[in-house]
Amino acid sequence: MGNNIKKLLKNKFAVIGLTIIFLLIFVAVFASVISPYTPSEQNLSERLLKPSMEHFFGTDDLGRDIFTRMIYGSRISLIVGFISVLIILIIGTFLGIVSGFYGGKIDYVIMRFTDIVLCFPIFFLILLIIAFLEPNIYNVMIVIGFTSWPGLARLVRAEVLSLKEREFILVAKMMALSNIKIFTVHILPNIISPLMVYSSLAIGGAILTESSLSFLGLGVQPPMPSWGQILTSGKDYIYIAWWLSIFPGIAILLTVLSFNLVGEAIRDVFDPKEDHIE
Amino acid sequence: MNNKNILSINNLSAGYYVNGQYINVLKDINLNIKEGESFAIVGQSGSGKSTLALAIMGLLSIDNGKIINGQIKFNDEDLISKVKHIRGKDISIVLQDPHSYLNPVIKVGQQVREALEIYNINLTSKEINEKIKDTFIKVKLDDVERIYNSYPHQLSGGQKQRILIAMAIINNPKFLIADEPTSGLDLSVQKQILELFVELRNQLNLTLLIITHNILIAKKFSDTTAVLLNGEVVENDNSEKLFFNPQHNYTKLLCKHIKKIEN
Amino acid sequence: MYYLIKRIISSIPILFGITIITFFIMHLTPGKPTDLMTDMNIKVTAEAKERLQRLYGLDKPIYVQYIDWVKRLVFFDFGNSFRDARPAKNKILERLPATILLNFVSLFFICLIAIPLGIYSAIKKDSVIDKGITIFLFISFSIPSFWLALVFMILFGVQLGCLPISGLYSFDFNNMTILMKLLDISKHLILPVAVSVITSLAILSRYTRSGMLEVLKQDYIKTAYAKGLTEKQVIIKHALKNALLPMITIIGLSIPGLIGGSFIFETIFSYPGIGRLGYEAVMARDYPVVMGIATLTAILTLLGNIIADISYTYADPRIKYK
Repeated sequence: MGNNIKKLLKNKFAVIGLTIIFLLIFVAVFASVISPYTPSEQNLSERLLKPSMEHFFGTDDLGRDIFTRMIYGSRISLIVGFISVLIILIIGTFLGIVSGFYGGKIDYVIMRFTDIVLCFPIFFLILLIIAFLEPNIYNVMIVIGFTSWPGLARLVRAEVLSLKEREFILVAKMMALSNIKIFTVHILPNIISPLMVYSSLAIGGAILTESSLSFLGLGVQPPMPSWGQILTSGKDYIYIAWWLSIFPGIAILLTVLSFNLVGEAIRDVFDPKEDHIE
Repeated sequence: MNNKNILSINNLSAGYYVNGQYINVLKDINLNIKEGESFAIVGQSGSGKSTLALAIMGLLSIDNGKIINGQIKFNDEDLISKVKHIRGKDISIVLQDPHSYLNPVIKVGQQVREALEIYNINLTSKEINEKIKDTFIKVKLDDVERIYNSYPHQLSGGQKQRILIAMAIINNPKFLIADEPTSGLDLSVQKQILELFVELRNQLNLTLLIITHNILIAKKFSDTTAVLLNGEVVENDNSEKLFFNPQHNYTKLLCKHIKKIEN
Repeated sequence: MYYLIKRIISSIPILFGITIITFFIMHLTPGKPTDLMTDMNIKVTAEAKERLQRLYGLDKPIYVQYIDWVKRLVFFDFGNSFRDARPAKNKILERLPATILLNFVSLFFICLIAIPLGIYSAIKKDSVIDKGITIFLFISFSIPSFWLALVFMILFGVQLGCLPISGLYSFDFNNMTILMKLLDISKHLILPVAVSVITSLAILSRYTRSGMLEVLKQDYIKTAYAKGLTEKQVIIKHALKNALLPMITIIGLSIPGLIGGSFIFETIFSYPGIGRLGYEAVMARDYPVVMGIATLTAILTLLGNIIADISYTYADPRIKYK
């Protein structure tokens, strides 16, 4: 493991990605210490100001400091990213393992189910489910989690199927180890690395989804400062206040990019049979 | 058979890059093959014999391989730089394992045709068809029409091997390499294929280089044999002499093994 | 032919599954679906509400409701829009062509750009070009599509003022000649297609690249070189076909993603397609239209997958001639 981490750190992109992610986590945790204002602090006399020394990223249509809102917005992005993916991991891994391990009818049913969900444009699915429920941060996380697991389930199932055929499983079976033991000792460690790759990419995807939802007004609701939301007001003022549209977008781009880079780097290090980007 | 060397290999060293590291496979190989003779290179897997065949044909780079030292001369001219222009024409190779060496999504007839067309752009369609039919019959593929229009997966192992041979001889090469010509084939078919090689060699007057792990094949089908161990030539002599009176320990081992089986 | 039938039959359970899920979603809302409609209008009496519920069959047991739903689905009868009482089916149908046009053109350009990019970066593996392409693809994959749309709007629509940023036609569309009309539509398509293409390039490109790399390692490539073919000839005549076959499946799988993205940037560009219709319907809780779009897109995706599968079967001689 230590060897692999060293290899990971050799990858320049991974280092950049990890740095940005840790920076983000730091900012999110210490938001109240770092930010010059509070996120809901309105000051109607200071509406739509250009970026300046007092307001690094300018102010929005209610006079709120965008820099501060973006710092607090990092919390939303990270929380939604991590928790949605956690839900996906739990559901997807469980179903994938059950499907791959037991096969037969259970496998058939679960796979048909993933087929069905995958027929819907996932974003629209999320959109309409949230609309039917109530748009707030909790529903966003839950809905993303409950609609996006099919991809992971298939991935895990494929891994389990290929592992099932390998020798050491047959040996373990011969030794009459209980299924649970075969599972935890033999199968689980082997799916950790594709899971890590998937998770990293999925967090990026979840953050993109959350910001898209918030942008459309069906995600995190005001006054919670999500980056997507800041962009919503940006849309209305594109002619006169470009800073509302640029900074949050860059933030989302950099964050998602970092998770993608780290994910790819993990794939290169732990799965050497794939090809490299270094 | 005159005494001119058609292929000369001097101090050849070659190997592969694996994960950025160079691993040497062939160590200072020296070999001479006379024009018109049948020459065998015998070795176990990992001895470097296939690498040698690929090195001669200039095909090492596909697997991240490289010749790092030495010379290969074909008819007294440098081959390493020229091979790209004459392979498939003056010097050809039949690669082992017919199951994976044919493109699965192109009809085999087309694949053979291609070998001819590259070097014969001035032939008419009719002439090309004639030549293909001719070659098919030479390799004992009599059901010309059907096989021409088949895809690899529709043919048997023996048929696929004959297609590979057809591809290699269609331009009347002077030098033909057969890399493990019997791998992937049933025993009964193996004998047929080997005899086909000998027959073709006589018919077409070509120099034949057989790469094999089986010293018995070397004895039966070649005039001269070289034994390869860990990338080095350990023995090189007339095949009959070598088999009945091996000098090197490794050769002795190989021969003993075979003699046991024969008895 | 036989395969086609088998494929369609195996899709039937999925079709049923789609109907079940859509039905399930509709009843997710706390309260009755008709509440959504009546809540918009406070003047509605309790009696009127009841009548509405009976009209929509909401007083019947759930399995009866489901059977009714399926029956109506066969005729694509999703009910009437809550907003303007027009049949949802019609509203959807009039917007569908625009979205299909957009996605078709996008898919065309995605293939046109991503596949050569993938092939090129495979051939020049690990070179500066390969790395450059990779970086570009990573960035394009990480850009929020709605943000890119905004940026384009600002750049081309506002700053440079050279491209239209909304709709599909200009005001005086009806007065234009055929040629001018085509030009007009094209101009309006440029930005939405650009956004769609840029954000979707990465996946197809990377798959093409790894597919090509796999193929280039195959034994038959050695045979091709041994025959005397040049690198260019080997790639075009031997490698390409083998590498592109799996792309048929990948392209099929990316269709729902394309449609999904539509919902975002059609809204931003005020593009008159089902994406924008869907968004507006969702915001207005116009559930007949919403369920109609959900069901329709799911069925379209299913069809798309079947077509992709059949195409693959025909394209790969190993399957076609078994």
